[in-house]
Amino acid sequence: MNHYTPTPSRFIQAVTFIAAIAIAIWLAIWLSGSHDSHGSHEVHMPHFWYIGILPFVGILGAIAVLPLLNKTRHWWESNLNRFFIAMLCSIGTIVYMVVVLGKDSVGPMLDHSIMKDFIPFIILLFSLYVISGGIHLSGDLEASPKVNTIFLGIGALLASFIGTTGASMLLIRPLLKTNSQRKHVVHTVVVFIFLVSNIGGTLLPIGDPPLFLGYLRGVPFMWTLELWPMWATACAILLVVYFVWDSILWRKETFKSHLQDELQHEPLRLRGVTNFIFIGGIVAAAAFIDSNKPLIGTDWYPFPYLRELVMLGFVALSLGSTKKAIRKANNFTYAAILEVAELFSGIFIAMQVPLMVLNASGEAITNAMNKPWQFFWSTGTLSSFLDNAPTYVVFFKLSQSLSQSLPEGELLAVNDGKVSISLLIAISLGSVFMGAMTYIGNGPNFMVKAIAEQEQIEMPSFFGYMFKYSIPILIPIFILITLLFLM
Amino acid sequence: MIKRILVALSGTTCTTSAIRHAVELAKEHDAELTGVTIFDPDKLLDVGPVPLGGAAAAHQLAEHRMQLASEHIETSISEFETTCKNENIHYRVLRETGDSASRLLADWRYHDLTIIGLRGLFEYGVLNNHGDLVLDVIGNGLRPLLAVAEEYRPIQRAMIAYDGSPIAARAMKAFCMLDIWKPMPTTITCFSGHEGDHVELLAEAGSYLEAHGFEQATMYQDEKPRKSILDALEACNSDLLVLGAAKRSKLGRKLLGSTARYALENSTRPIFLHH
Repeated sequence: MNHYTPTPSRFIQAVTFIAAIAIAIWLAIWLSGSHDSHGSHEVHMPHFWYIGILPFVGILGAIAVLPLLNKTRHWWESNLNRFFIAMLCSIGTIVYMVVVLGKDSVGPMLDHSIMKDFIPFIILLFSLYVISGGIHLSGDLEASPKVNTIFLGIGALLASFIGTTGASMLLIRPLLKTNSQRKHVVHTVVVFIFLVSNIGGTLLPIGDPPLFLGYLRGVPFMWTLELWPMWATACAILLVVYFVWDSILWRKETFKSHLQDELQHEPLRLRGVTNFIFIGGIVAAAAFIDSNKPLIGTDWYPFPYLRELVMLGFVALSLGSTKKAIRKANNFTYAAILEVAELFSGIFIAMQVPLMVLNASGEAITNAMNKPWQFFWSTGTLSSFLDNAPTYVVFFKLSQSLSQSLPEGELLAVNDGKVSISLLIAISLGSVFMGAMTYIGNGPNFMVKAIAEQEQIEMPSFFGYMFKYSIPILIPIFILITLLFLM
Repeated sequence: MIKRILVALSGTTCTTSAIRHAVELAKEHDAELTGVTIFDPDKLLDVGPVPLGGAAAAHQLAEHRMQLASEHIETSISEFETTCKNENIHYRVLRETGDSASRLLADWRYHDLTIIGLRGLFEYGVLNNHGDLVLDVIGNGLRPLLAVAEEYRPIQRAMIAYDGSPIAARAMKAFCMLDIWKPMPTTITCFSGHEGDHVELLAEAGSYLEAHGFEQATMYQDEKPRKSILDALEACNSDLLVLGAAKRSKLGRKLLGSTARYALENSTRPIFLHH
């Protein structure tokens, strides 16, 4: 038996290729002309907007539904098939814009979505993905509640610096190996998903993709550090709950299990350490190189995409200096980042019409929804089931509608105006924290689950995860966060 | 007369026991055995909802499951073939692919008895919460059926759970008339809910068993069957529980009775089901 990847039909190959080339040519023509790169700032509701948002709904719906259906699940495994959907939704958006807004609106839209959003976004993710894939941690420690709690605490801290995906992939295997002699392991994997794959990534824009999108929209790099009280509260509660929980289950382990755990030790071994230096380089590049601002201590404005070039330089150093055996030990492939790239190329284009709609109707919506706690729970609920990056952008845009009515001290200057600080806190927390609510809330959640299952850990089902773990544990914590920080 | 026995080669901890029970019965009745493996891609490869960026992990997990299932299937078949050859039993192997419940029911049509394990059916080591197929196929009317636990236990004594209902009566009659096992010491047990008429019920059932040459005893448990059926089985030191499992309604057949369900999920001794 072989679980093969499907080969896309020639029709799909042809349509995808033609669509991608057409978009690239349109963008190139527009970029080579002389014009205002920011395009029109007119704020009006586009005609037939309900048709214009269909490609966005379509691509998010395809991501949510096609992997589930028996008839489409296998089809969806092909990179080209997924890219076909992304291109189909992109072309749908372009056709809508040509017909409703005129062909001149397409160039600025592509410039914004591809050049300003997609390329910096995917290069950051790619850099972190490749470099963190060159670090391998192995070992088998004593699986005591103390060791496990320290493991999770380190993961929660590390996630902000190497990204939730990088931290999850680095730590999950040694954690599972450490606990391989124990029978009760599911709770450890679940709390790992809560802390390392999600909440831990709150402190820096490179921690979680939505925060980086905020950074690309002008949120200062260090601003996310202001979220440390909420991060610390959630992490501290989860670590205490976990420690008590694990202590109870640790006592329920058999004598044989404890004995095996004591006898089978393997010291921790970290390989590919130089990659931490390269990750430091990525952090520095993201923090200090911005073509809109002079380089610190100079009057020099970095040229566009210098930051991305520097990041790719660190990727090259990582690829050149890391032994292949390390990446092999991590089961490293480019498949996951390729999937993210192909789908986000479509998401960024397809989301432009919904963003225009929000721009035009934001004031009406924010008449009813304008409190931080409302933004926290709305962003969070959607982030639990949809990808949190586009969700963040949608609510970020919505929150800008409120900026005119607020005093200057409550606002933060961003690329295209100002945004309410309290709403930005709520949106950031909602999109990062509540990604932990389901297996599909964030990419690493599912990766961790899949690795645990391959180690023969019987992970809860989709609804089992929600009803046995995330709802009873996380919802009370989120309510507390709301009461303490968002009311 | 039992001439053809279908054995589910599920690759679970109960498979060895199922093969051994099948071989013993095949020797007894000079019957032929059919070992069946069913690879159900819709269930085994269903990794659940996948987030953006998770497709590669999902593909890797599906491949891992495919490999795991393949190994379990080959191990089960090899064990079945070796045992049959050693015991000089006439056998054949069916390698099926498709919906496990419907494939098993299709194969069951041409067999006199089906033997399955109590702990999972055709999961082949894949832990993906796809529901309890054992209960599913039983609810769909797979009868007569012998569901066995991990530990092989020669069947020398039996207990019939009896409440006088037509379903329980059919199970008892099938146990006697199908002649699967030679008459053996059998305890007929009635549970609470039949306080008034249990004496008469037990006496009538006892005389029926005696007419079929069974050495019988009766027992009344003043507790609900769900709570005490397995304790009663142990108390009378029986190796086999005879149970009428289905309800009359379509929904009932799907859901099974709560007693049957409890027994199937928790018993460490074989269960014979008929209706």
